[in-house]
Amino acid sequence: MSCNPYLSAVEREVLGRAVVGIAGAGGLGSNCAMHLVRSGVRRLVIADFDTVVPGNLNRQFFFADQVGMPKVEALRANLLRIEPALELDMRQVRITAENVDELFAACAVVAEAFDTVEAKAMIVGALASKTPLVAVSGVAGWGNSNALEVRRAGRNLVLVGDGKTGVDPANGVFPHSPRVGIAAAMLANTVVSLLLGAPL
Amino acid sequence: MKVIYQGVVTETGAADLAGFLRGQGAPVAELVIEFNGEILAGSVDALPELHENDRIEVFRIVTGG
Repeated sequence: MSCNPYLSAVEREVLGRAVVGIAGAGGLGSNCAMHLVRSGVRRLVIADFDTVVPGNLNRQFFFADQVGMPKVEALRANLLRIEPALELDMRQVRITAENVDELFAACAVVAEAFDTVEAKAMIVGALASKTPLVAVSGVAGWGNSNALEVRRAGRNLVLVGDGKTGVDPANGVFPHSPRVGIAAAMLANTVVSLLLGAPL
Repeated sequence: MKVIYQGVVTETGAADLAGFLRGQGAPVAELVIEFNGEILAGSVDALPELHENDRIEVFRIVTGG
């Protein structure tokens, strides 16, 4: 049984067997996880230290009655409502240079879904030389949908985003659902494409 | 010496990648750096020496997610 009836036997096998890592369960990570599960990915390692707060509900795949819950636990509940037959390794932990290798050791592909420059740089430095990694940069604000793009960087790294529009409260630039959601869908689409050997 | 930076042949007198990127005004701490097809990790101080025809691509990392 699967929530996606439109997979070939090969696609079902590949997506069902692969372990995908998601580093961060915020706007990018929670929505990426939703798209991956709806696509047919069954085995996920998702790590995030944070809890759901009201300000997350503008873009993250959580609900008002989940405020206060650890994000990984709220996300587990939401993903299992889509597809009960999942293998979820949910870790409520802050991802660091010291634990990132162990956390995602089993993963065929890792999706970077952090919100800070430091964390993004850390995981690129730690994983991009050894594990296929899809990272995101530049998803804040409104409009400019066509500026969001997918491009390869080196053998193992793929970058999603416009590469320039960061959150900038002083200038009124914040993360909103449409643009973060587009990027999260592109992140998931890229992960699935890498797993299936399809064009990015 | 000539290197290929963001796809463009660029003349430089810099001896190493860190010096080259600083000369370009690039915010090194906010960059993913692809050097001859490999993603570089680690500190700015560990960036390699430059040689003729090295290929350098940089991608800016910004906050948000």
